[in-house]
Amino acid sequence: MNPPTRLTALYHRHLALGGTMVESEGWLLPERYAGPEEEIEAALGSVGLFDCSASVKVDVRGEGSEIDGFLGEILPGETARRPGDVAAYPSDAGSMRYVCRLTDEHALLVSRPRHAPPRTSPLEPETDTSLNRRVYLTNATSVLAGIALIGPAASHVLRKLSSVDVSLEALPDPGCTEGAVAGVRCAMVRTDLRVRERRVDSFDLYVGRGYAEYLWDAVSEAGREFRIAPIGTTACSSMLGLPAKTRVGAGLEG
Amino acid sequence: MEEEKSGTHDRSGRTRRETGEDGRVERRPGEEIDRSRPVAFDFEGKRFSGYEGDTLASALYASGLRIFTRSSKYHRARGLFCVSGRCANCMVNVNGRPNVRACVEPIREGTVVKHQNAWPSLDHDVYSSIERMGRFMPVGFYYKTFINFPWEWKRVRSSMRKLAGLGSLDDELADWKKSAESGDPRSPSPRMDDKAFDQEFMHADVAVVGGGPAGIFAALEAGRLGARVVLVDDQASLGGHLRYDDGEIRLEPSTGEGRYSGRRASQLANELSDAVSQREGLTVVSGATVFGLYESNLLGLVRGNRLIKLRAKQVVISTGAHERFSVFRNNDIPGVFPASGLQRLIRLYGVRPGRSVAILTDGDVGLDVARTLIGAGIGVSVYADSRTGVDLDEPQRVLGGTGAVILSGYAIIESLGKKKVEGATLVRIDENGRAIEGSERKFVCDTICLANSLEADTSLLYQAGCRTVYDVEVGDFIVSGHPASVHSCGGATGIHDLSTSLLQAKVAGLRAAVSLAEGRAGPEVKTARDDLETYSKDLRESESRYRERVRAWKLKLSAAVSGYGGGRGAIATKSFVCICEDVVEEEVLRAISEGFDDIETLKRYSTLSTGPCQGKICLLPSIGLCARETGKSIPQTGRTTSRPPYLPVTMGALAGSELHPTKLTAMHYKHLELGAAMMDLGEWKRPHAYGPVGEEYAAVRGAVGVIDLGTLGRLDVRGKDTPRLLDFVYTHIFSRLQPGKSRYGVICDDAGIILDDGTVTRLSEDHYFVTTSTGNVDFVEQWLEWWIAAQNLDAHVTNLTDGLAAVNVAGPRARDLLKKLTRIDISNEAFPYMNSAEGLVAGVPSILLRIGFVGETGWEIHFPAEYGEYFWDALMDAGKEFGVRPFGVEAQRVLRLDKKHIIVSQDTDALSDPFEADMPWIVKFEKDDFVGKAALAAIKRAGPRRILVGFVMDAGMAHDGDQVYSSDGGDKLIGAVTSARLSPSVGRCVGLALVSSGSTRDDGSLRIMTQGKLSEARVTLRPFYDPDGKRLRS
Repeated sequence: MNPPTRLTALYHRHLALGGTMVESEGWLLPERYAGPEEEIEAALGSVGLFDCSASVKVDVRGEGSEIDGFLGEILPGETARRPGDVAAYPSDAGSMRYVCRLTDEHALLVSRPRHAPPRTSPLEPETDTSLNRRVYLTNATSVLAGIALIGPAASHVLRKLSSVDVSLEALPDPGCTEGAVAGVRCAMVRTDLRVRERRVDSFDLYVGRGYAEYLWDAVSEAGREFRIAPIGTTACSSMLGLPAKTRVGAGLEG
Repeated sequence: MEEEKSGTHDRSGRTRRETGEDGRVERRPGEEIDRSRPVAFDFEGKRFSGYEGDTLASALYASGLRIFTRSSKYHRARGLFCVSGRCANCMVNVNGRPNVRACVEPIREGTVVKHQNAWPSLDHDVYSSIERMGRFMPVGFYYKTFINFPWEWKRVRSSMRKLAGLGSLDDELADWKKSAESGDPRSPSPRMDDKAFDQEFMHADVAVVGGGPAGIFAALEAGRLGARVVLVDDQASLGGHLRYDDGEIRLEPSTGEGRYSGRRASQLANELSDAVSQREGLTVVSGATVFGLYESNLLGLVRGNRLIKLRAKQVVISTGAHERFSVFRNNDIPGVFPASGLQRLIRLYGVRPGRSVAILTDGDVGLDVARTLIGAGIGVSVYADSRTGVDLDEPQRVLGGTGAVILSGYAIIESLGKKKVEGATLVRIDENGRAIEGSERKFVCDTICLANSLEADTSLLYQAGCRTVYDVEVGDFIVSGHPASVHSCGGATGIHDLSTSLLQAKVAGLRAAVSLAEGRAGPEVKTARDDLETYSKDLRESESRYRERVRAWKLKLSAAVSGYGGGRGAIATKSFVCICEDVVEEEVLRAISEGFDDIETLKRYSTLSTGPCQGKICLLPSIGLCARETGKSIPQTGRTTSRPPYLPVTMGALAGSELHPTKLTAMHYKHLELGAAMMDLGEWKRPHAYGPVGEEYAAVRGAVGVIDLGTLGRLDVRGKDTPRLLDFVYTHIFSRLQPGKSRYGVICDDAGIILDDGTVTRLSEDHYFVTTSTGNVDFVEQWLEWWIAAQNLDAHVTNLTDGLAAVNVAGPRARDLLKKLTRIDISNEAFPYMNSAEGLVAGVPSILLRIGFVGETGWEIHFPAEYGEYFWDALMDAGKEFGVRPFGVEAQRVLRLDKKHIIVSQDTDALSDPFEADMPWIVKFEKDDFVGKAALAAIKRAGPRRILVGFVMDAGMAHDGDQVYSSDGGDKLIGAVTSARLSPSVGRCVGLALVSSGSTRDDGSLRIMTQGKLSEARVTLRPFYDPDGKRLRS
């Protein structure tokens, strides 16, 4: 039996917003809403909202030194040792995008979406687990929905929903933290983009999948005064300077 | 009087000369309105217009409105007063929102404004007749009268509240609320405002409160070393008093800002404003009122409909000062202004306050006002300085030839007029500040300006934990004892001198900057420290010079503080001490004579300073009166406590926008498609039922049913110490559980109380899959984390609840259905009860648990949530031939009750232990130790006090919560029903009841009080359905 198509928790929101849904890497994702150009302009001019739930997420837990060792193995030369650190994966090192060190004993690996490898347990990570280490990897792709806010007004929207200080001084680029957004616990990852030679604020919020629609609605409502607009995969990939279809998710790349 | 003859009044009290453009003065530099951009709005159903930059108050005043509201108790006419949002004199209803201060509310096209607290109109308020009964309503009226007639209080309370108070939500809103409650979906939403209330969080290294010159300089200095500074001001533009001050700036060279000397104040305001806008890292939040300073430097701000929570590492408070209020007869009528209110009207909004002004002063401020008035072409009828023997050369120079009478040693004793000022009575005072009888002089005027000396606005500093002590020499409250991260400057410190304020500002700003730079080195830090030292020294000298000048002013504090009111027996000619609460001098004196002579008890008894202004107008006059009457000094009298909110804040702003987190399962939309009635279960939405519950029940018992279990808590627990952890936290033993096996368990606290239950499945040697009840997963996760840390265990918990969808496929045909979707051998031999497996179901990686909560052959299947809808459809398609039906929570509750399976917190309470829950088998005392072991051992020894029993009703229906009585015919209450449902299998009502131990036995009976009748029920300790469990094991 072929693996069925995967739906993000925001699938029905995309339909309600008129998103054109296409299958990509096993997921049914919104390719566009108003159109890539309009969406890019909306994001660069104010703020765009993007569903990055399809990113592969792996929850890493273990002793701090063990996580350091593990990250050192998969991320030679650069690592995220302190809570709040975010380190990028080189673009040629598989499909990894970034690792977020949430606490000493907890990290989150995030990579671009791809077809889930054949597996029989939902707990099996969708990543290479062959390295010798004493860390515990759990597949968190399904657990966490991802909502990215991209654009100069992104921090203004977040300021309406969270007491977490998201200024560059408090949450540097790249950087991560945990806190409540609209009253629900999120991992917040800042990985600003470089688009048309200027830096554009970009925050990825990872939240329990059950809250995804609630958070999307809360962000949309808070962003109404900034004319927040949903953006599809094509617009997002274009802003990242990446070819379409293979890129999903906002933020730091390579 | 001459003024009255010159115009004809219309119904709103306006003269033709006072309406339209006649209400404005000639355009002058510095005004904040754009006369080329008119803005129209409605007031009382009529069209009014103002200009962009106007406030509602300035536009209405320019159009001739003089009575803006009616007072809370006596319904006296009240007009524009402070023009800065401090008092309650101009509160109106704007777009259905009551108590909007018109003087700080910008006009917007199409705004609908209504009066409040008057009927039928502001000019002719029927309730104003209450004033005639004032003598029958002395201070403490409610306490004294209704303590003897409490039943009367209940009767008259609502009427009194209608008469008093400060406006109400619009009738329109009330109508909407009524229709919304009646469920009429067509009811239009209320026109409360064009935006919903919301909130914002801000962070700063330094927050500066107050955008006057001191606040601006403090903000500029605070940012010198790169700190993020947020400058908050309650006005539309920065500059504070410089914006409306007409004077020339004179600064001491030591301020380092001598270059500004010689400029006009408004020019300096603009330059400072520009400097702020050009400073990187400095954010200005204008038009926002700071209403409270809370722990850890959290500032509460309100800006329109938005609540802003600003957290700062350092706080500089520069809230400035305002003129003291004078207590004299009739001091509350429209046309009485403090100097700053008058200057704001003229300078900022180009509004002509009147045509003939009486200026009453006790310092140099009166001269500034005189200059402003003369410059605007407004007449001055009298200029009176209350100081005796003061040099009048300068007033003569300014006002000479204008016809103004210039006096010294005179103070106001009464304003003349009823609904507006028509004149003023002045009295000569002696060198001790006492009025000289027979020296009264009356002057015709339509405006009275109280250009009194200033009173520091120390409320926020008080809230910050500073000490505020009255300094007799300076004549104001002086702040000391600042917390390390709180600084002050400007008028809020009680020093009212621009040069000294700027030095204070620089010191405050630099102190904040240097504090933040602690541990940093570098030339810029050293320079900042050196500057701080220099400015601190200069500040000490400047303050010393200021004190000398104050002494030279010969300020008569008794006069300035308490004024010349009516005294005892003068209640008919009211001298208001508190204009918000309508408290007059005579009432204060009476309260003091009754023994309320402490300022705090006086406040509570008389309601002084408890109104919307929160003491900004009445604090010092009331302290002065209290001091005078008790023979104490002002420092001995002290002051009342200042608490948040500093200014009124709407409940809507505090509540913010509606944020009620909601969780949806992966199959949510499938349930909606099927027409399920959804219910809230904690934050989750769950299907209560899809149709008749009996049909769902029958499907499970007779064929196969599917229920969405996505709300169940799921935890992934790994690590070599996981068996040890689970043995310690659960009462059962899980270290002996074989991989692939599941077991039910309960978690207890140290007292043996059941906290949660669920299943534990061992997936591999050090890997377990734990389920919890729906609402408890976060707690169980934290509970496990706590014990991992406490016991230093190698175990790690990951909450998978959101990531896994789950269903329970149950019923005699469940196996047939699943066989179509999986290659896993699910025969009873290969996959018996309480076993588990991992594998593909419908192509989806899944964990299968053979568990029988509903008492039939069944599997809990957990799988990635993104496949939820697909999986649901696959089950329904595959199960069609077997008569599959979805079932909801209600059917599940009946099904599990058949089996006497408990729901923690439904069938247990905050005192239930496993023995009471009739599960003694689940406590394994042979383990070394586990949470609650000692307590449970004691309970076992003593025997449980209560026991959970099953019952079957002979007839009738019991309900959750019904009381249970013993069967001996007496009225002994022995417990309560925890769950009861009509069981289709049994054909009668079955249930569980928590009853006293020993009160009943198996096959005994009990009586249940249901709907007022006692009904017999038979006790059973065995499940009602399939008591041997053959079906779920088949």
